[in-house]
Amino acid sequence: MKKDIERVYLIDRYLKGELTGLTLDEFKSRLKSEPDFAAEVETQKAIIEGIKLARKEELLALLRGQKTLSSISPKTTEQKQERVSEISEHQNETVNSNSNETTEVYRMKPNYNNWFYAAVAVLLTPFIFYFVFIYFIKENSEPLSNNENSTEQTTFADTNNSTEEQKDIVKQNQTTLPSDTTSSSNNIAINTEDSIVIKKDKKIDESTISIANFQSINSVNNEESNNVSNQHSENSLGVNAIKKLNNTTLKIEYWESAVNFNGYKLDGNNLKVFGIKPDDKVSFKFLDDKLYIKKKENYYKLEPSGEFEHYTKEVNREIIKILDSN
Amino acid sequence: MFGLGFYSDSDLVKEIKQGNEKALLILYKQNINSIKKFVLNNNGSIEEAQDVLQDTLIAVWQNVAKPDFLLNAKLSTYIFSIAKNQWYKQLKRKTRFKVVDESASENFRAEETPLKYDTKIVCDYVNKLDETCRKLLMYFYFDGLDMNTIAEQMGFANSDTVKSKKYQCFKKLESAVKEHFEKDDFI
Repeated sequence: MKKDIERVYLIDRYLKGELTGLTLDEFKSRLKSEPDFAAEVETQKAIIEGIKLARKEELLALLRGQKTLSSISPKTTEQKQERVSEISEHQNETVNSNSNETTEVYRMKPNYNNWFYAAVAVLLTPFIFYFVFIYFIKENSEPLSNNENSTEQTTFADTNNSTEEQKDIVKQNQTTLPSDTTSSSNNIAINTEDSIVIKKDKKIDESTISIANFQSINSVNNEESNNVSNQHSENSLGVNAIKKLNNTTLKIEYWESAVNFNGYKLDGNNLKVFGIKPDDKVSFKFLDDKLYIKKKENYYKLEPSGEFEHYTKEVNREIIKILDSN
Repeated sequence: MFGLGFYSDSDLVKEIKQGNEKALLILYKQNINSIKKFVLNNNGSIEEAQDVLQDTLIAVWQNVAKPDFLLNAKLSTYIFSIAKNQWYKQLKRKTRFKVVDESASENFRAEETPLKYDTKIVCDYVNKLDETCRKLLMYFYFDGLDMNTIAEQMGFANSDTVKSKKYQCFKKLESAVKEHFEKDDFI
């Protein structure tokens, strides 16, 4: 029995081309001298070809989808769990017509090590980023908002070029701050959530007012009166030489600038003011088609240029006088 | 890494070496598109592309299962080069003979001497064997798996058990085949 096993195995190895050297020579001489042995080799060769063909057809059928996966016995218990028993109809009909054997289907275990962890990592990444993000915001939110307040003040001071009048505005801004605590605290709260988001200009309020349009006769006849007498003109234009024209409606938008811009934009009848709060006591006046804004005791002339401009103080006393008289 | 590429080349080679047929299907899905493109661009049809890939994969299956197999390129590159050669060979034959007989016997025409028994009939008898014998013989002779792998794969105690079981199965088949042909001889 054992001899037979070894003999068949030897022939297998010969047919596979695994025999070398002495064993091969010995085998070949035996083939020549023993016809029975040679016949056995021939038989084995033919049968092996049959087995190969059977396997090849099986695999081809598998690839063509004519046959389901089959395997004999599971290697491990893990595979047992994944096993799905399935009767291969094709096999029952054609190949194993005698025995209704069930073909067991196994699923190849995918490589969890790679893609499973990759998927977990991908899922976790946003969470990690989120928490890091939140952590940094908590760290930076308070000093950040404080800084903003201080920069607000400093930039105010910077842009104001140390002229007294504009300092007044700054002062007023500072004085209005306490009254505005609710809104400022709201700002801080907003800042904590999107401090990284670029701060945008914010519209605080909007109102439409109607302003009387005055015209000074003096300005019309300015050159004339200058010719006659300076003093005379000064006296005459004073209070009386003012003519009231029709009212003009002005749409005023109060804006809070992100970069603490202190100025205005006058485009037609639309005025956007920066650095002035709706509750500031300001008044608007039209004189000779020119718009003036009065804040505290100072007048600022607003140019209808359609561009953003800084407030320029009106220094002409005569005009101030006329403006004051209305 | 994604899609079917969950399986790395080394995983697939490992599975083929263990005779897991799922690997064959995965390789088919992974490579069918590139082979189709290639065959269609070279005067072939989709069906021919499928056939080429099927034949290629079976050759790859046998090659990979060999113990001395070493993969020194990407598996897909390897498969593609074999498929390319196969298709060029087929194209040559196609131009010479109008009708191409693509029967399986073609792969065995390398044998100089005619075989003792008709391969097709032996094949039928192989399929009539019980599942364990059938698989065992196939794994050993076609897939080229070694005794240890077969023992592991099929749940045998060791390689010696496989060897003797294989012998029994082989003798069973041999006697069935012999009986068939002897009966034929008498008729």
